[in-house]
Amino acid sequence: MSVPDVLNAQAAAFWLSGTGDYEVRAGDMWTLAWDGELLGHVLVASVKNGFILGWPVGLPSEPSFAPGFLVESSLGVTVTVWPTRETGLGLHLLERPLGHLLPPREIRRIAACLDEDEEPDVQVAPGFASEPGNLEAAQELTRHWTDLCFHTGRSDEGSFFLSKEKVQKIGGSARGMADALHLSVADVRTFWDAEEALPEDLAALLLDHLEVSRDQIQGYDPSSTWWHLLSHPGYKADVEWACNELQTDEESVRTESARSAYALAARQDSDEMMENKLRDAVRRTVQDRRI
Amino acid sequence: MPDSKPDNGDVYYVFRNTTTKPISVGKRSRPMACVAKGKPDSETWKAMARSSTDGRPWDGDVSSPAQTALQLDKDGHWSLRWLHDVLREKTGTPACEFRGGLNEPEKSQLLELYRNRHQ
Repeated sequence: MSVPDVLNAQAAAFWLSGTGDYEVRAGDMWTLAWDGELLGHVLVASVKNGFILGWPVGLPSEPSFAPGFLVESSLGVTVTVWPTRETGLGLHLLERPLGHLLPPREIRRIAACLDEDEEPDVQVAPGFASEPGNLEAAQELTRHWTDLCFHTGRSDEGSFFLSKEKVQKIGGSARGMADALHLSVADVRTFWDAEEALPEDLAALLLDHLEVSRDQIQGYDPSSTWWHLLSHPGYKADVEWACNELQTDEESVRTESARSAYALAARQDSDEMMENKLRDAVRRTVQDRRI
Repeated sequence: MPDSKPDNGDVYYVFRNTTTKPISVGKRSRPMACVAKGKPDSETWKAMARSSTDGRPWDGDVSSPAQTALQLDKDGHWSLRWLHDVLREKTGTPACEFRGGLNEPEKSQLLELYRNRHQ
């Protein structure tokens, strides 16, 4: 990932290292990245469970005009902040913390003014979206940050995970499922225990055999809890390391790590144990491929 | 035309272009509601999308029952997770189809979720 040209040597070094403080807080600026590609910079406006509300931040090399406003950043450059472009973003995109940008109270004040269609008392960037060149930039800003909003880090959403409890409730069993799918009980065990998603062709056979709708026997990916834990930016460097070692993508590393951690999880795991198991799971994705 | 001028609580279906990056797009079409119509001369309005698979009411997501009148065929939830902007120039076109307005109390609950988003 290349350092933005607008940064001097000292700022560039800071941009590459970040603050090292991976607690996600309102008011801080972060880089956003996926698969080693820089996707932008963001101000955390609000921290939610599993996601943030972010205000896009533009470096001096990027388009800047009203209603964006100007703020001096810890990078030693003036950045453009876009409060009117507030966007929901998954934690999995946060990469490096770049320090404090605005006090949370100021964020709330600005947002409250804008909600009432009032002009907040800020240093607005010169120019307007309607000016030549800016309209296209404004539209691209919208498209890009909408894409980031819907960036879930997973392409397997909608996968069919079986709920054995639901199947048992309607009188089904692993043996019955194996017979319907022309497989052995050992073969269906991984689907029965929701360790893997049921392929669509097998799902169709099973639904037809049981004469039920999808909702009646569908469950959730049990490793999703671990996937969401792994989405915290504190693990981003571990995931990026594994991607580099394996020359593969973040989705693959995250999915494999979450399933590995789930398989070895114990109900009594403390937060520290869960954190260690997650990091071990990421390392295992590399070790297992090297065997 | 009212279809092209969103009002708070209006529901639209936004269709996304075909892309080679499915991980950054998700579903091809999503229902979304206007939560901040913005100034008439602004190029965007604020939308909150609805999900029928990953609602988290314990985290504040607003429950939304299936409503055939709005072509919402499953129960779902409105969530701040899916807060984003919609280009005003696309509004009311086939890329961003108007479906109708939310009824109460869902409309008020949705707008309250948005207005209290920084709490």
